[in-house]
Amino acid sequence: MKLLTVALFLAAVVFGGAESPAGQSSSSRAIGPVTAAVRIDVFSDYECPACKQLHEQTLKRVKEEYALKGKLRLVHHDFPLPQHKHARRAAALAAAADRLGKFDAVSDALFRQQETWSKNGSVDEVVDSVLTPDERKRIDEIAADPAIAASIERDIQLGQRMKVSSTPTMIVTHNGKPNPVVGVVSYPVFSRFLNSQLGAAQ
Amino acid sequence: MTSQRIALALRLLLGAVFIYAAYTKLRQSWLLFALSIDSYQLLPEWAVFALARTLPWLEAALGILLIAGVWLRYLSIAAAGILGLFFTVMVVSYFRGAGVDCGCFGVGEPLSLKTLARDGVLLAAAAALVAVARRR
Repeated sequence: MKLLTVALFLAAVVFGGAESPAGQSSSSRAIGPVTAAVRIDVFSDYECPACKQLHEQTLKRVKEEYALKGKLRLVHHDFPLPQHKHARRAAALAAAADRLGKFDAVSDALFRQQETWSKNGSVDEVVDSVLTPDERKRIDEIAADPAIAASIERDIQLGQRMKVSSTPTMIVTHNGKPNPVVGVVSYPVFSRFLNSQLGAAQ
Repeated sequence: MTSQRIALALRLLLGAVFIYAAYTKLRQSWLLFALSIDSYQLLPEWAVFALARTLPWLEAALGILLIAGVWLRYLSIAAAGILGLFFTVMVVSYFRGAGVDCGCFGVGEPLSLKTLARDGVLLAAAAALVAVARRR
């Protein structure tokens, strides 16, 4: 059963275009070499407070210290929960921003101002605040592209196949073995775990 | 006679659960269990690592001794104490709304009403064992 789950996960990642909307290869949603021995798949919801905490306290440093240095591959997946009414719109805008090369800026802004837009629904305003006037005109059009909604749906389905039931959940895969890491973990503890995985990979 | 049978059933149940809980943690990297403990966001880094290294062995020892039936009066109190501590921490974390990995039987199980109910049942079983063991 476990082998089947791993096989399904790998197949979905390879063939399902799970890394970026519409299968873009220059996406900021996936950082680090495709051939990296360690891969982290992050299933996140922009409206979830724990996801904000993980993003700001841990994942930013993981990105800088590991993914950008080519030590591992870090992949963002949208997993908007049904109880969060603005989360899907936020995910769509972030995915659209990725096509404009603004994924990081929009993603950071969405988490930074989460408390505001999750209450009053001002997702679009928050996103617009980090875009140029020209980008603001284009982002709505891109977000309305059915490929964006399809990519979010693919991420959700991938998460469900991997038994993701809450956010944030990270699946750390090493040697084809996925290890689920649920909830908010601090950078010092997570980096020690990653180092052990990377050490074993060398 | 009846209380002896109840005590036997309870200590076998709790002993098996503790041994299984230890097994699920010891068969994987201790750092994965450290991540589960860390997700509760209650302990400093050094305590997270210390607990991740020692707790599974403590659970294994407790499970074996419960099944062996030695020092039952004291071990039943220890089991109830540990489960009571787990239950308190889980309830607090659940209602705080933090994203937490239960860490009860390996990794990857989010804290939920199901995990709380399961721990509650085990705590009740341990409390019953304390009561039965005191009467023996």
